[in-house]
Amino acid sequence: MLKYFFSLFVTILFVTNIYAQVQIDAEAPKFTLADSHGKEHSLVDFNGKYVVLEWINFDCPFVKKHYNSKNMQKLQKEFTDKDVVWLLICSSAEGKQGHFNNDEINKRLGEAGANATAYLIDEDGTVGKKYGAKTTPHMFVINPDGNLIYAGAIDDKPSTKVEDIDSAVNYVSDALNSAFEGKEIEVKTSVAYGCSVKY
Amino acid sequence: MISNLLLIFFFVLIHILPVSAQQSGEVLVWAELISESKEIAPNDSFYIAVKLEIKDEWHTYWENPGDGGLKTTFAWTLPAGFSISEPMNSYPKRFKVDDMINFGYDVETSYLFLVKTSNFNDFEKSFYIKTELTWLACKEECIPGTSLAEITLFPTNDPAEIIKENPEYFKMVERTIPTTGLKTEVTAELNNEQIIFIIKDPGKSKKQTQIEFFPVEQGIFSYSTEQKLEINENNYSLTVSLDPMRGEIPDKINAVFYSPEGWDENGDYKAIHRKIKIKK
Repeated sequence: MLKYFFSLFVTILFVTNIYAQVQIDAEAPKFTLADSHGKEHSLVDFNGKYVVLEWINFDCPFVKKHYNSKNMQKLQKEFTDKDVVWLLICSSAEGKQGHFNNDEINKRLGEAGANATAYLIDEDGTVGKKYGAKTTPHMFVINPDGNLIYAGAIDDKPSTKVEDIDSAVNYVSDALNSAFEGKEIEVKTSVAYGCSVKY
Repeated sequence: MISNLLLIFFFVLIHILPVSAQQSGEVLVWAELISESKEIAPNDSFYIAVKLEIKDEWHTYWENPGDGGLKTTFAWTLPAGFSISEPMNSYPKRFKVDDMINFGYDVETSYLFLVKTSNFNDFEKSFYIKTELTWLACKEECIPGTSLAEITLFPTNDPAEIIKENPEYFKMVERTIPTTGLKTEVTAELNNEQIIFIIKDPGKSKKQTQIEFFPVEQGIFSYSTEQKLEINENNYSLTVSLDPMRGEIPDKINAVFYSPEGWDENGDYKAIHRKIKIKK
């Protein structure tokens, strides 16, 4: 008899979902972080401007693909010249891959010829988890109203091969250009590819 | 005398090096091509496997790598007129790295392929098959690399003469490929931000105690949230959360369900593969 009422609940505990649930066309989570020179930056400081958030780990081969080819630096230059704020965010925890002291990271930024507005340190991962940043790179675009308008991969070619860049559709570039022209953004989300963020 | 010794040394070295040593970067993945038979006939088909050995503590990725990573890909060099199937992937393992969930393989895995031969009529010439694998191996850091594996096969005009090689290995590999067979039925229903799978397993007398769901396609499900399994009298209910950043929910889900007890009576098949229409 009892077997007819047999019902057992099993939960496979992987991890609790620690990631916030950011949404497209909703307000982007606010944050304040110090940069690699010790200066604090808050998202609200950039109200009225487009903001790109790029999660970064300079030792990740997917990040190397876009920096060794200068693809990322070109994008940063193109859009910061158009008054877009481009923030690099490193959520690597201390002791994990991609975490550097300020002197080291400033040296690397100089060597790479990065054209970003600032390199922000998020070593406790708070901001990364608020945004649900999973990979490096993982890209987010915020409009002048402070709403998230794109989240996902940099492009549609998930690989570590530099030669794939030329034929790739760059989602960040497309999102910004469409937004500038007042057009609907065709791809608002995509599956980010890269190394997992080293929280 | 010295030159003769050197020649012998290089000869020995060449013959003890595995094929996978022909790869770039740090050696993290060793690849070997294994054919179901050394002889092949015209207008026939046979299985070929790529066996990967992965360095301790490192892992490579399944076709859906999860939160980060990259699936292993294969570029084939085949004899003229031959064709090869897409890879048949073994069921993956779940890796938790820095609060992220990855799907992939450690230690050893094999991919299975079906090769179709041409209507060749030259029985004097051997056939050379080569694959170049592109992989990403991760531990805490990630390193991309490539490996080469190759094999030479010989023609026969009498298929009845073909002797199956490594039958136990191929049987083992076939059982790691999520099966579309067996009578297990799975339905799926959308419930707010979750999908509830109802799994009816009529073919097995012993109850499953654990079922894990692996989505083949990326970007639909949240991998880090818990999967809730309810074991009922006549079925199992598995609730899985959707990814809040997903695009449109597809009409069908391409799903693998893993059970350590297996889905057949003997427990040989640990994973099933189903394409399931979602009731919305």
